[in-house]
This record gives sequence, C-alpha cells and structure tokens, in this order.
Amino acid sequence: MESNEAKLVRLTAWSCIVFVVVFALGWGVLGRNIPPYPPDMPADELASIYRAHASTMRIGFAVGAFSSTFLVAWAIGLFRIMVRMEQGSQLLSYTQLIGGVLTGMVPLFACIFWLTAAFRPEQDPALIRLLFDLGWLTIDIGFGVTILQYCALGVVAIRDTREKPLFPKWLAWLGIWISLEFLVELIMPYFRSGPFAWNGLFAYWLPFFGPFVWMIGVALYMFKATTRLTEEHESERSAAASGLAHH
Amino acid sequence: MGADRLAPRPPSLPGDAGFWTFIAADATLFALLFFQFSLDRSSHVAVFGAGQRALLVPLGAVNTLVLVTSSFLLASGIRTAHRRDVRRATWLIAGTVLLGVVFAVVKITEYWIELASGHTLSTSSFFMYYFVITGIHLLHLIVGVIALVIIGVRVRRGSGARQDRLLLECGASYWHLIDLLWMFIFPLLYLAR
Repeated sequence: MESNEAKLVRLTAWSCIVFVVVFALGWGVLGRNIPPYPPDMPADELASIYRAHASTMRIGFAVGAFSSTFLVAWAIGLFRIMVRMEQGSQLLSYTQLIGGVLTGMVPLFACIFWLTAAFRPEQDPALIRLLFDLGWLTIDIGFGVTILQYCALGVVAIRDTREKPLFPKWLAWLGIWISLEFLVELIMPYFRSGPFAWNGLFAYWLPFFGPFVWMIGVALYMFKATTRLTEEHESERSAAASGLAHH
Repeated sequence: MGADRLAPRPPSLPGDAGFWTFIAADATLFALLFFQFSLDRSSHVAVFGAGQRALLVPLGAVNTLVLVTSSFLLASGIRTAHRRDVRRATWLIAGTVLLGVVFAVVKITEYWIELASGHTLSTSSFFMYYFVITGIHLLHLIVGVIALVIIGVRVRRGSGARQDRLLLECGASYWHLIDLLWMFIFPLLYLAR
C-alpha cells in the first residue's frame, strides 16, 4: 500500500471510531435511546417525553443521522485493505463494501424517523408513537446488509494466508457470530416486553453494543494492517529495484 | 499490490483457535438465555410449571438419546478419519447426519403438536422461551447438518489435506456444542421443577 493511500485508510479507521462515539452521543445520549423507551409505553407518556426534550432530541437525531457518513467511510477503507487479502476474484471485498455502505443507511433512516417525531412533538401522541415505532423497527430489522458486511470480512480474514494474518482470526469469527446474533431480531416484532423486545437483552444490549466494541477492535487492527501493508509495499519496491540493478 | 504476493493455496476455512471464539460467544448467548429463563421462572413459578406440564417429555427424551448417539458416531468418525479409513469415516459421518435429521423431524413434530393444542410464541412467557430457545438450537442443528454433509463429501474424497482435517475437527466441535446445549435445554425446560 502506498503511503498516500495508507494515510487515507488510517483516516477511515478513525472514522469508524468517530462513528461509534458520535452515534452513541447523538442517537443514544441526546436522543435518549440508552436504554430505549419500552415498546409498551403508552402514547401519551411517550409524547410528553418528546415534548419535554424536543430540542436536545432534535440535535441528537440529526447528529445520529449524520454519523452514518463515518460508517460508510469506514467500509471504503476496509475494502482497500481487503483487496490485498482476498485472493482471486474480489467478490467478498465488494460484498463487504456494499454491505457496509448499505448498513450506513439503516441508522440514517431510523434517526430521521425519530427526528420527525421530535420535529412536531405537539402533534397527536399516536403519530409520535408511530414514528417512534418506525425508527426502532427500521434500525432493528435492517440488519441483513450488515450480515453481508461482517461475514464477508470474516471469511476473507480467516482465509488470509499470511504467516501472521492482518486481522486476528478470533476477531473474524467474533464478527461472524455478532452478525448472526442479529437474526434474533426476526422475533423482536412479536414482543412488546421481555428479553426479546426492542429494549431487551437479546434485541438491544447484545446486537447494539456487541458491534460497537467489535468495530473498534477492527479499527485498531486496521491501523496495524496499513503499517504492515506499507512495509510490504516498500520491501517489494526495493526488491524490484535491486532486481533491475542486476540486469 | 500485495494481493497475489503469496504462494497459492486453495482457499478454505481452516479450523483453528479462532473458531473457538465463535463457540465461546455462542455458548455465552445460550448461557444468557438460560439465565433469563431461570430469572423469569423464579418470578412466575405457576405459569412456568403449567407450561412445562404441557411439554412432551418422551419426545424430548428421544431427542436426547438421538443427539448423544450422534455425538458418539461423530467422535468415532474423527478417530477413523485420522486413521485414514475413509470408507468407515464417511459412513460414521453419514450416520451422524441421519440422526441430525431425525432430531429435526422429531422437533418439528413436537412444534406441530404444541401449535395444534394452542401453544404459541405468545401464549405465555414459558412458551416464548420454549420456542425461542429450542428454535435457535434447531437452527444451529440445521447449520450443523449442512456443515457435516459438506465435510463428509470432503472426507470421502480422502485428500487427507490439512484443511480437511481441521474442517472436520471444527465441524465436530460445533456438533458437540449442539449436543452439549441440548443437555442443558432438556432438563431446564422439560424436567426441572
């Protein structure tokens, strides 16, 4: 990897960390989604919360929606590392790229739905709740493209034939597992309370905070990978130069 | 570009220590499910007791026997494969696959009977856990059966390649996890009073 590209890829690794922090602040803290309001909360109660905190929630969801930009940039940088790991066709690298770009659309739209609820909080509480539900169902059911992203990275990282792989295999397997755990969301719409509801252990705490931690792990190994790929490039170039000198 | 820098090796998923991270994460998921189940049971003793009495213990017991036998066959299959007795190893893996299919058929029959008698995901918190825990377990088993079919075909080809051996060991670890999880699910859901 040439040093100019390595700089940009490092920037996308930072972008991943920025996404996690900014999204957690906007969507989670200012948007009041950590922990989420339960699906069985009465519409009046929900509307009064949106009315009381409309201004902070608007900033939170606008920032949360914007943070998806950083998620998309991360997928592009990861793609540039993956094309140097994947042998033959680069199908899985492209799968990761497209899966990652589309994953960015999920928090984007979900935050816009919640933002719409906070935009006119004085309206009918039933409409507030409708938009609130729409936001949660979007962010929870939109996981399919993320499975593509995590599994594609996982398979390529596991198949990496380097003596010391660029991404550790445990991180690759963990990503595959985290993405498959998203499938529990398929039963989330059956429940308005309990561990499988959108505020429960299996539909909220695991599928949201698992990926956050894993993504930071991937970003840290991206820094190491760019350093190693730059060194590989340098040693290849000097080998080629000495080869030329022989002739 | 360093993409084609290294000596070509047929791409394959090597079974190594990394796979155990997957197993550990998966076991943790089930541990959390069992923990939530036990927590909810302690606060809804009557509901959980009534639900448990409606389960078909003989079918659960049959499936326990089926899985234990399948694990035994697979363990013998691995030993046989390590001795390069390809024919026998293939039969033992095929036997494991067949028992996996039997387990799935029994389980789906059980779901059929439960649904016909009006027990669904939303009947009670007991049946929510019953369908979700056994359903996630059944999904694992179906993935395991597919993996064993692929592994069986590779073993039958008998290349003896390092990757094939690792794949077989990975598949077997995963299959034993499925068996082990059922050893928790059966007593916890069907038997524990």
